[in-house]
Amino acid sequence: MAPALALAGAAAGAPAGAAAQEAEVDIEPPVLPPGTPNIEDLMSTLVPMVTGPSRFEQPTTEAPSSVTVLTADDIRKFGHRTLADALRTVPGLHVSYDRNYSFLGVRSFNRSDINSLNGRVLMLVNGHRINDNLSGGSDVGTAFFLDADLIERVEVVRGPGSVLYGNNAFFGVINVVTRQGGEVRGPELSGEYARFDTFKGRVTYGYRCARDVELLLSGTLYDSEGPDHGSVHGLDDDRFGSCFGSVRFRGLTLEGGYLEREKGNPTGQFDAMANDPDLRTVDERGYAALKWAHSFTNVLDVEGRLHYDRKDLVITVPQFVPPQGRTVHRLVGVGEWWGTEWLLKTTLADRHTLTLGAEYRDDFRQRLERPLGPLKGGNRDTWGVFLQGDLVPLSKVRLNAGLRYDAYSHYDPTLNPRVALLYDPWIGTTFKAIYGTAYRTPSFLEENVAFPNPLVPETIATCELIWEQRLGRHLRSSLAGFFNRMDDLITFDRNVDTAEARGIEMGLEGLWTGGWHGRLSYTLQEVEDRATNDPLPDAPNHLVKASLSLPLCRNKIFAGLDYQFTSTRRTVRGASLRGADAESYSILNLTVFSRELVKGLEVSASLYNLLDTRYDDPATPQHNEEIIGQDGFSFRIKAQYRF
Amino acid sequence: MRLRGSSTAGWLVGLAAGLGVGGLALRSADAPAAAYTAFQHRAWYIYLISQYTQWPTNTFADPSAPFVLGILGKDPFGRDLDLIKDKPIKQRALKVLRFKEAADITTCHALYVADSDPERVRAILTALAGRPILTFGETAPFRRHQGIVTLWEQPETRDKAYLYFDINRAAARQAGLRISAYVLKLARPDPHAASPP
Repeated sequence: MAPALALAGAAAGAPAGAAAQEAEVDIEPPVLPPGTPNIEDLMSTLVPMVTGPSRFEQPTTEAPSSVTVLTADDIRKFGHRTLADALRTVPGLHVSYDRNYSFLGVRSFNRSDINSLNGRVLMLVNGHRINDNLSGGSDVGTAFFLDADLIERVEVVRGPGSVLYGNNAFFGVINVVTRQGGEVRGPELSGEYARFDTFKGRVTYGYRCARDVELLLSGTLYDSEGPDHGSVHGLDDDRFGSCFGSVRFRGLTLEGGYLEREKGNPTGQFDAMANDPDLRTVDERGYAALKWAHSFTNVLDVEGRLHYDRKDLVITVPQFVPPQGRTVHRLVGVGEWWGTEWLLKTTLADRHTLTLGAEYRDDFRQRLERPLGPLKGGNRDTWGVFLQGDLVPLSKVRLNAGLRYDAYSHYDPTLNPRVALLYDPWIGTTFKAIYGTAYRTPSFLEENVAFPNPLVPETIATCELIWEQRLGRHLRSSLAGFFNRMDDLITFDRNVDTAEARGIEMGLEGLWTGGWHGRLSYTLQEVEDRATNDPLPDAPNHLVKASLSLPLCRNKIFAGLDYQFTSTRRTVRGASLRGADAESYSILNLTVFSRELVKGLEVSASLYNLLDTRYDDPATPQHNEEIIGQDGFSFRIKAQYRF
Repeated sequence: MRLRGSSTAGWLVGLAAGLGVGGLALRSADAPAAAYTAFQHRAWYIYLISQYTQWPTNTFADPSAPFVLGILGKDPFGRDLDLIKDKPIKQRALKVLRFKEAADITTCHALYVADSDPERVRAILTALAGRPILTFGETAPFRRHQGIVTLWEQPETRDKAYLYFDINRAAARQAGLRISAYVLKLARPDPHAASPP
């Protein structure tokens, strides 16, 4: 043994157990010439990306779908306050806000309804299903489970995802990946102030020891008085408290969190009078998940997950009932469920991958206490298995095919395939042809509304053609055409509608050195009822999104300008009456963001709806109003400090 | 059921601001390190990790033998290697050799595997198994077939990334190499390397 070797003690921070016995013998530190960076410097310096030839993480051009990825950097540079803000910038997506929940429209389909709250999109946080078992969905605004500051990446996968995820992956899947303890490293504090007396504070702590232990803890408090409506003040208030934590030891991760949000509702929902202070909603959502991932001899990857989830919903509704006069009802919903998921993934001949998955879920508690109706309770269970293969039969052709079977205690079993053919005729060009089906089971709340009418799952079949093209070194473009056919769509209490949607999506993205980054997209789309040929409500025919991030001072100060155009949308009743519309509108947002002007400090100032555009979103079927007014100009200032 | 958010949030914001200002006073505004090109960055990693690695004593033929850095496959560095070419590694002159295939490799101490073809990478690493060569690579097959130092990118923006490295300790042990605990501690596994579909 070399005499230079000297024992480095028990390698501070090394994990206990067998690994610690590994000969972590330190060598004499080398004498490095002046000017040599150290490894920590290299690790904390951004370098131009060299697309790794075969990273495990699938590049978006290899994904069997049309995918948009937003990063933490986008969220900071464009000043996104919530997940809804971020999703508004994604091609083909639009968001309607009823001053309580944010409803996500995908490819012109948006059915704002509290009973199926975004249940046609599957939302995941680190792979964990956020959709609850009451409405079958989740808010994407302030009642979304995770503080937007904790988001590392948002992957928006359009098209049917039931082949991998089963229920709810109807129009697409939104996977939110959180930041990790090793990246946060130490305490981080963030505070912000915004218009309408809005405050938000966050404390986050991240820790990582060697490669085996990683910890992230975070807590957020948010409080907003909300805008005045007419002369009425403080009825649009919004406040939440949330926490999120994750601790990992080698391949074992325990993760969980909790959110409680209370929202005043200034609208005339549920037959309340507008601006009634007693119309309020409280949402609570929590989960704990234990995840285990292991790679056996680099041939077989295994991932298992066990989780417990809970959702609580309290709506207080003031109503006028003639004999008694004004009364305040409470609608109380409770959902609890647990489940387990297993994934086996193997690579054959270094090119083909096969994934086998199984899932079981027990919705052991679904209760709803309604003021006027009987107490409703339910419990369902479901299991599903799937197999997906990603095969590379020829060097330029990739075939991705899968099939999933789901069995329900309440509904007929369902089988959902997806086949995608990807062809790269030459470097920089990818063609994709995709066919798939998906489904959504009626939510517990919908079943209660429909009772005693039985409801059946909604289904969708999708065909999509995508052409992705690099243009020189700095630009990439995409062109997609899609056709969706939906059957048994649930409207209020019945499976009545069948609808067809078709459209074209064009996107252009440019990246230049020095931090210039621009995106432009246009979506032309229509969705109509097949029986009447009428357009559906809240279905804009045109969406334009443009954003530009430009460096004002090299790597330190950036300006982010973001423009969104949404064309005219029919309202819920207007769709059948050809009556009132929510007019088209344009929004312009500007954020100036700085980082590392002082080490560890990030400061940003954002102006939202810079032109003070007055616009409305279509109301939900439970509203007396046809349209709901949206915020005009607002601002936010934010500072974050990392110790 | 009502949250008492208002006062607490205000307090929290105040605390954040106070601590932030306090922190500012303690820290000087130092600029981040000068920017290197993507492959100059990789060259520094190779240089530094080699410096912190101990080869078996009989590896070098004589005290004046050079330290040989091999590039296997199409050289992606070009002139970016000039950055380290005059700097001795392990107190030995650095000599860069370019190899077409594994069979060409005679004397070599550190090797950057630029090839990305899965079959060839497997063949290369199988041929080199057990030899005291510190291998560097960036591909999934490299990681899978017991390459020692896998460099990987953590994208931060659309065109910029942090470059991290992961170390396969078993492979290093098998090659008879001892890597400093300092380096091992800084190694990070690629969180996407075993991600589900």
